[in-house]
Amino acid sequence: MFRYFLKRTLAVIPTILIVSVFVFMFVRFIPGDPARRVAGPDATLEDVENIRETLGLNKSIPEQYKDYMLGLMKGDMGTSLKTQRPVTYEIGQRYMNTVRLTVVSLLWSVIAGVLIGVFSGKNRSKWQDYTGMTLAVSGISVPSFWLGLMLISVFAVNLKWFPTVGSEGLKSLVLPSITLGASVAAIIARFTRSSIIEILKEDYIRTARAKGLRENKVVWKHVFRNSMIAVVTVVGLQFGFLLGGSVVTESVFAFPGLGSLLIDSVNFRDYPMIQSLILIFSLHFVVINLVIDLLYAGLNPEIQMQ
Amino acid sequence: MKKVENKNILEIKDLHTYFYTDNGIVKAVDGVDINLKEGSTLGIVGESGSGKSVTALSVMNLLEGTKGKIVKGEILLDGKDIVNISKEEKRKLKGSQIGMIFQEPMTSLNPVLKIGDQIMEGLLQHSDMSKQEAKEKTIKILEQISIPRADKIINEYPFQLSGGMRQRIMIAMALVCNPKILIADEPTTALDVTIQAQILELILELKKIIGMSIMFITHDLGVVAEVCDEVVVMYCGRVVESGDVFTIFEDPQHPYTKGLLESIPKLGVEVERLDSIPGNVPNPKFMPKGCKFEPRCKYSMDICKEEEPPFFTFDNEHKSRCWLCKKEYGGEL
Repeated sequence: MFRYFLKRTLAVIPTILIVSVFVFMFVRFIPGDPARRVAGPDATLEDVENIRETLGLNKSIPEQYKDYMLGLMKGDMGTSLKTQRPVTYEIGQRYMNTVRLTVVSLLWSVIAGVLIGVFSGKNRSKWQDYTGMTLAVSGISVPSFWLGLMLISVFAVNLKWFPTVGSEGLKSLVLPSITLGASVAAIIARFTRSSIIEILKEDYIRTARAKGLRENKVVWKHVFRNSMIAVVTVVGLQFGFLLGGSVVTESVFAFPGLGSLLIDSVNFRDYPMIQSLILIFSLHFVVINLVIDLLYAGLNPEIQMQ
Repeated sequence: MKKVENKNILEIKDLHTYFYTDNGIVKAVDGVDINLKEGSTLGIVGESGSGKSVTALSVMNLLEGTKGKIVKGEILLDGKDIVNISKEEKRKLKGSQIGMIFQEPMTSLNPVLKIGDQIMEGLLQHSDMSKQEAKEKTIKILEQISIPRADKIINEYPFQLSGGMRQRIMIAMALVCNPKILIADEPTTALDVTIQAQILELILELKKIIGMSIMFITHDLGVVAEVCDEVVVMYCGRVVESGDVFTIFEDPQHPYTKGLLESIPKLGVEVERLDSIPGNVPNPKFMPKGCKFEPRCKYSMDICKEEEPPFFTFDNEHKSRCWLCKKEYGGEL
């Protein structure tokens, strides 16, 4: 198990390297000149060239990449073109906000999604199923920016239960996490449902019934664990999606997280910031996948033993 | 011949189990009467689709979740009806009064639960045993069915065991609560021949120890000859012939039974080609009007096409559902 873990962890390095190359290149393909943005609209051509030189943007892309990677090794992600502060500082300011939002969103959407899925699946084609799946289809179909705006207008503006924007305390997390988690909960519910239905057809479920076990025991002990093997994979992918998907939600709620930071940076062509953020997002994805694989092994004894 | 003169532990009377599929009603079991005598082994024989497994599932109340439903008939366990009782009462019978083993040992065990846990949970459900007592009982039954290192095996998972071992575990699971009846649905079909013999021997041995009655479902007449006291032959959801095992093998009356027996290779008898019954089981949507076996029967007569034969009874409770019995052998209605 330890060797497996070590192997998987080392495999993260090439993945991140490849991602960093692509991101570095593509960011520089976006039309727009950061040197001009920094210099301001009234700057002369000479000023712009000077700024380009100070920022190191006149060097070739491979050279810039080399500098960036050497910096990364020392834990230096460069300086934000927009704020002139270190990228690590800017990200550090907002990192925990996004993590908090994502974790809260994922937590409620996994619990709700799995519960809805189990009850729909075990009561297939009954009212519980129709209710659950109607909810799920709505959750998937409603765009998150619209849901966010509706929630703000009802619960923040009219009822004044929650703040409209910001990240002060737990209360400010409620509306954004509902917005962010709705579609994820829906996807998890649908996945859980079909997985439960599949597992209910298995021979070993008939065996469990033949033992005279209570239906609740059959579902929660025999069906549930087997169906979670498939669901865990989806949860992992959705977690990654949440960390990136928060871009829209964070903008709607003016939530000071990584998503809104990314939007600002793209608008400003803040190269160091964009590439560092994307790198962090992909690192999240890779790490989550690793965790999911380990979780998978925890659920399935056959993988554990190998 | 061992004559079993005991009372009936299980009586199936006029059982009709239909499947309501999208393409219409399939009458999987259509008026079946079967008696299982206490302490005896009854073989139910027939081709795929003859309704033998559905009969077993009806007795076990395992039709839930399928499209099947018992529409008519009685099933009496020890004289008490078990069809028209509450769900909860039915559940309590499963595992404790009637145990069942299935055809596919590879897929019939839960892959993510430990062997011991899967055997124990039946005990914990049906008795007041503590976990520790249940564990001891589990180890004991595993030793009884001569599974080596029983105290280790209970902490292992199904994928670590071979097919034969898994079927043994299934048997332990079905018998751990000492049920009165064991239903074995083709328990040896998926196993190779040497293991088959071991499993059959084990079932018979346990029958002596526990003293249960067995309903043995199979399409293998060789197995029937080896383990059964009585035989019921099913075709198209009906019983076509029944009697004790010697009578059926020596003096079969129904052409279908004869056909089945002729399709077993015999040692020392040289034949060019093994006999087989021509044709297939009829499509449930286009059932023949008269005798269901008539289209495949080489003795087919006019009356067979028109009217379904009733049972004709011979000595020894030997019954056959064939018009020939009336005409040639003088069986009584």
